[in-house]
Amino acid sequence: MADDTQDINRPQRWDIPFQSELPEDLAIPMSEQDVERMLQIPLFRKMDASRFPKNTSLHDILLNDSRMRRFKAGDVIVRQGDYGNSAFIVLSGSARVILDKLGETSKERQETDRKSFFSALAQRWRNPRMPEVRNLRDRTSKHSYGETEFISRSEAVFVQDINVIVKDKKTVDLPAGELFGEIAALSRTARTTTVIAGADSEMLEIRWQGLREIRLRSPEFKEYIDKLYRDHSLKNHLRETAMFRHLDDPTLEIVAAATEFLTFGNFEWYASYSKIREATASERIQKEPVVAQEGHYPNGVYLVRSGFARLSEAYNNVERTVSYLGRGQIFGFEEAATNWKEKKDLPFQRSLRAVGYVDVLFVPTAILEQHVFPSLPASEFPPPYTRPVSRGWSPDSPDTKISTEMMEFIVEQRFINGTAAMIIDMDRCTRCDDCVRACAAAHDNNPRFLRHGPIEEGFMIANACMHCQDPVCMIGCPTGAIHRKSAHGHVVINDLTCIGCATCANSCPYSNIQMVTARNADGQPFYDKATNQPIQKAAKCDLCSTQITGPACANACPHDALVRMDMRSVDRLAQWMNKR
Amino acid sequence: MGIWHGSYHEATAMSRLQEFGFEKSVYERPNQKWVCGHARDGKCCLAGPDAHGNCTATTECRPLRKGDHWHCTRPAFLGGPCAEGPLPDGACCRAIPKCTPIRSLRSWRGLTVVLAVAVTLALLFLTFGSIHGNRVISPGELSFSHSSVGRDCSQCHGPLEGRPAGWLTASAGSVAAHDNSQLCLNCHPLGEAPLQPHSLTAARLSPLTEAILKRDGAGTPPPSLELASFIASPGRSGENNIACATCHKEHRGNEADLKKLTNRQCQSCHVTQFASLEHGHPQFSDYAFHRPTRILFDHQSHYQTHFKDAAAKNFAPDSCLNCHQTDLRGGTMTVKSFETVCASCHDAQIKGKAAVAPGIAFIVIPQMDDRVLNGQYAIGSWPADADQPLKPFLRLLLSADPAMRPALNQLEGTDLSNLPKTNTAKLKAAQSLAWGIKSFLFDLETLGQDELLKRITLSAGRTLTDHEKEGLVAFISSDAVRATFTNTFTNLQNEVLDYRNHGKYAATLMVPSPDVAKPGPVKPAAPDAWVNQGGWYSPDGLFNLSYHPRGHADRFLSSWMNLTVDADHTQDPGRARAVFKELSAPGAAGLCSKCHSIEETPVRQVNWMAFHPDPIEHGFNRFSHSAHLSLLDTSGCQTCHPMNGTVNPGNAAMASASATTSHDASSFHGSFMMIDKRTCATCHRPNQVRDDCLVCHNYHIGRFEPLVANSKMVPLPPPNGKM
Amino acid sequence: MDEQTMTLENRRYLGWTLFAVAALFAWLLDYALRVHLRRAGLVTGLMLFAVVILLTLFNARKKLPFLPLLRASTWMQVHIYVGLLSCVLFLLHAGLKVPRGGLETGLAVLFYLVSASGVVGLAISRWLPSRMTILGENVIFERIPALRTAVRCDVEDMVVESVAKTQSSTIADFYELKLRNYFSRRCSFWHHIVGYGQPILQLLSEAQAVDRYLNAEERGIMTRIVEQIHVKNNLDFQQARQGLLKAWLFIHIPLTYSMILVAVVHGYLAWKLS
Repeated sequence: MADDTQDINRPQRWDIPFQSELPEDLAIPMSEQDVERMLQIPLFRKMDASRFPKNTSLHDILLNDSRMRRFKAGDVIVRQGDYGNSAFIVLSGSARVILDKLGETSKERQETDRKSFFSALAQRWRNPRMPEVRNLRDRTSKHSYGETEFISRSEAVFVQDINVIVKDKKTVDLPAGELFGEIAALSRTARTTTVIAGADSEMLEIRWQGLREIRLRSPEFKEYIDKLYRDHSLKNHLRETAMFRHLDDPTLEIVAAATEFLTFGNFEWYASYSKIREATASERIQKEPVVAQEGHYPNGVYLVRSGFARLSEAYNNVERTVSYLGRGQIFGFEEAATNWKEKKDLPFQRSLRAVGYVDVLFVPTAILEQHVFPSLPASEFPPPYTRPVSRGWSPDSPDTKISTEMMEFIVEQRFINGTAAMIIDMDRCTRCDDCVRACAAAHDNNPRFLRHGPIEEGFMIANACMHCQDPVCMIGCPTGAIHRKSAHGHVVINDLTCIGCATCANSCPYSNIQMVTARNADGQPFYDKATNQPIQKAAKCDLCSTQITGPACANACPHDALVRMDMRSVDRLAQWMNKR
Repeated sequence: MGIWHGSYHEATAMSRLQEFGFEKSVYERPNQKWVCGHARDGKCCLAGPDAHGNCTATTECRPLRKGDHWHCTRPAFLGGPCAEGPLPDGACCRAIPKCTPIRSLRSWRGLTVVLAVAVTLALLFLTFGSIHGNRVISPGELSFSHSSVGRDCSQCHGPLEGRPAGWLTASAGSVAAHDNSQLCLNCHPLGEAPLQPHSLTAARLSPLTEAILKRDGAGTPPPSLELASFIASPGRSGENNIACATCHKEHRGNEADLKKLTNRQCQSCHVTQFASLEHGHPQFSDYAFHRPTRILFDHQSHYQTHFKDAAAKNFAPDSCLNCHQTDLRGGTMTVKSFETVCASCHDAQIKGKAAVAPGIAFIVIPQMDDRVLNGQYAIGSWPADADQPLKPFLRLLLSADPAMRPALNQLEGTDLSNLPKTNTAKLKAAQSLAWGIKSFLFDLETLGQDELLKRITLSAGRTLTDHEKEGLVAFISSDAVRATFTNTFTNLQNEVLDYRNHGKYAATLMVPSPDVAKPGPVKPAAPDAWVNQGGWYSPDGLFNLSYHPRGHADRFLSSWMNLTVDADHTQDPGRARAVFKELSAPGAAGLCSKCHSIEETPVRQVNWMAFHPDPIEHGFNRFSHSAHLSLLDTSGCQTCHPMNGTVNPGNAAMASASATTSHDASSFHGSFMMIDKRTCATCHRPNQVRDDCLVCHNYHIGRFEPLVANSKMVPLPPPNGKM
Repeated sequence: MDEQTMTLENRRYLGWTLFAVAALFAWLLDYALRVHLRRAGLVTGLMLFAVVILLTLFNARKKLPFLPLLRASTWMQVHIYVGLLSCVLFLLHAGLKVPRGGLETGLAVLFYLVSASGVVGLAISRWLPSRMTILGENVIFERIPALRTAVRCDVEDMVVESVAKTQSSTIADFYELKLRNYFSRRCSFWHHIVGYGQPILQLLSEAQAVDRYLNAEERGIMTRIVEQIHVKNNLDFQQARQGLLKAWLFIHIPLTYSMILVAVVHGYLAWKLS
């Protein structure tokens, strides 16, 4: 009998359809008829259903990976800065895209599923005594350990007095049949704009797993999406960058038209990564695809759209890493601007290489000199050019206070990807494991990281989820169990929908995701009825996003040895490393 | 070598042991209570120990039946299906060897905490439970003087008896420090306000405080003290009691000194702080006594004059110690007895030599104006040659009889020997006065000393002690009285009786007084010389009873002076004062007031005795002469008590009977100079001889009766049991 | 202030300053009360007790990491400086002399032990880690026994391999004679606490001595074994230091609780009997 408490059916993809992740009051059951109706949407009607395999037919995808949503006029559908895992198709009514920035940023927003003080305190005695305890028998029970993120009412905010917003903001209305929100869904980036319901409208929301299947199977859908990008958000992206902010619409149009999309490296770079590891540093750099070569004529500037690029300079026979660029950063601007202003012809001072994968916008110099520089305010120009003296050896890398080895290290290991990497100062760490215990206390008695990992100059990058800016772990997930929380984009796993396929664990280049065996309250493993295999769940750090304290590990360290670091800001990193 | 290794090879040249891949390294769980026994070999099984530390390991897999075959289902992360496969009966062939799970480090630490707490509690209970517990919890050995208390805490700590365990429950609420102080007072009585500052009642203390404040102002407390006052305020004097334990710290071991007090403790109230006796301590202002010396002795004149003249040469002292000696406790220098010190010169004087009047007239018949006192104002026979006025003693004795007072008042200030013919009132008064005298003499003759005492008692207005009585009458004898007066008033008895019966005197023709016995050829010694060693006599005339003092400390004189010194409290102050005036007049018989000062405070009195310290009196100051005598150099006592060079009115004032009640430094100059504190400071200075407050000052002030065992008188049982 | 941005040095200054101020105040208060003939002992005693409780709460906070109760590092700083303050208060309260009473002596001894262990703990917490980082691989304490076993097995495999490949028993003999014990036990604890390197020199020189009796193939194996000697030595080193870093709390914490118990009794008696 002990056994049958432990024997359950192993969770499968589509066990929990997309719609049932909605709370009851928002959920709209999708019937066969509804699906048929969807298939009549021009977008899908064009597709060749035969291209889809039996077990994942377009019909099933729509049934399981999409859901119906109704919005009142003025309801916020997607909020700029949030991390989205789905795209929307307007079925009826209209969606109004607000092109300008809204005052409110996602940083000010609370997580929607944060514990109350007392429920937090309750963990003291509510936590199970055994590891990895689940209640898989009834999945809706409150005590099913492991969190599920529901869209809560607070997220479907009605924007006060829609007219006020619309009045002084640029907006675009999307009629029925239009698709939006796909960039965030596919490129693992934050929402670029806010979209509200123009009128009372009905939307079809497709989570990105489904979207990706479709994109994979139907070429026309793929090019449709690329077209959308150019139309929807290229201009936004340009407008975000300082050098184009002052341009008026017509000029921006011209620049946009001239802009090229370039992609270097593999979008799913983690696959090749494990092979690359084996190479030596110099070999690896050579393997990295070059975006722009030091010493070449600056034929334009590069805006990093997503992914990462290594900024390096020649040092005798090898390349030496100077810094790295992430989303929104620009390469080649100094050279081009200086050339135009001081009538020089300066080559690129440094090389730009794709670390794994980088997505860049390229704006040719000609366009800049013709349309941008003339009207560029003096303040935007770089300081008068002086030849960088940093050619010789220097302990610190020229642009930062971080030593060169450290810089090489974090770029080599691609820790630059982390927005919350766990760095431990081993000279202060007394190995007391308070961080681990705190973590366990905040996660139903389960630690969610390992206090070991590579060490550079006495700094350990521990095996804890870094909440990558580009979370490749999400790519393979068949159920969308591993997803980004909308507010801050923390990568979390929905334990209920996780089927334990270990795809994420395998994809994570930093092996920061563990596969654990789900157990009952007595600590005995659950077994799959069908295969008698123990039920596995993917587990990782969720940055305590449901706790009121923020990361328990960092708070629990008595010796200031442990920090959760956003590797995108090299300055904060340098400051922290130099604070001892 | 892989990139992950890189960082290690920089540190050390050794191969890496750890793998970071999720398949290789699973979550470490230091928070769990139990660890698999195989952990130390790195061979933990999937199941692991249960919550109670039992191994739950069974087999590596749970074979699965497909059709009629059993299949190994060992999961990939445990190595995948095994080669052997399940046993025919469908059991797994690979049983996991059972382990004995071990506690995690954390669990051990928890245990040690529990253990420590348990042991501590056990020890505490043991202590508190046992009857010897209080020895353990006593904060230290008692001081020598209290060590007899032994282990009975309750003697000093309120209601705590028996084993300590009882105390926890005993008497809810704190045993206030003051309650304990009461227990101290059982053995150490400290007057009526024992716990008040200086054990003085507010009534007594505050005037002193005022005086000090007047003298050196409010005083500016040192910054440290002001800072302190900022945080905690001192109890104002009189307001709150100070527990004994505040200063007397017990449980400091057998050799501890309970009386030890620091200057700082004194200065918590006495805010004017100073470094030492030498620096800051106020100069000694009122040397040496608040009261005049009991015995008026002018060291000046004695040294300068008396000791020089030939007569006194052989008596003159050659050192202070001839006249002075330390008292038994060695504290004060006292004056030796009259006999040792003064008698050699002054005894004779007292007995009348060189005195204005060798004796003192007690009962003297006054002269009456017989020219007018006849007829209706007849006074009977009256010695014609009485030539004295009415003397204070007689006047006082007469005024004892209330009936006489109108007459006395009437005649106040009139010369009895020459009465105005016309003033009938005065004549009448004179007549009754005369008869009063006669009947007093009559009663004295007939009733004797009792009559005398009756009148004295009446005038004193209080009953007299036997000691007083005998002093006052001083053996006055019927012989003396008769010898004095019978010849004067031959027919006294008839006259008085007749006067008393008829209220008036029946004028009869004068009876000539009979002749006196013819004086013999041998002339007797003069009456006063006759009683050189003191006693009653009647000088020249026949109607004067006088007393010759018997030497130093004469009972008659001292008794009468005591009786009349405080005249205001007698029945007839005026006349009493007159008597005292006569007795204390300079050169009066006995010369008492020459040396014995008279003081107003607290009640007017004559200082018969030289100063002697009161053994149970604790003053503010203390000084031990004997302790210092050994240190004196050639100048001896004068080291501290230098002679006052100038003879001055001060001494006169001192010598006069009406000595000032207190000597304030401004006007008074004693025989000696003021003592200079610098003299003391030559030795009493930091890191030489102690110079802290308590060397010279007492804290507890007052007369503290020593504790005496109060044993009741019980009648002895009769020798053989029956009455 | 923001823990993150403040450099540790500045924080040290701040800590010492605050400590100095607090200590000064405590001293002043005690002085004032003594001067005013108040019962200073009672006050300092209560303060000391309160402080000890505050220090003990650090442990409670560690048990509630999911509540917003300041960062543990902040607590640590408070713990350190308040700990020092408690020593000051203790001196004010009890003075330097050893108390006479049995209970008091016990309490004092407990306090000495707890505070001393605290100081030692702080010292080693700051001193030991730095060396551990640079010398050798950092391993998780709980895993050390397993790793040691692994190393031993590797070495034994090598020994077997050497016998198998070259029919000579030199290495095997040497292993039996010298290495078996070394690889199967934890060695030279104190060596590793105080310094590093000495313990295995002997072993290495002996290995060196064996070298002349080895042919090329054996020598190859021998070098690998020697490397393992270093590896195992590092394990001992890690275990010794990490062990000590955990061990001192086995004194500090339990005694704290005993101390509090005795202190309560002592306080009760003092309050009730004085």
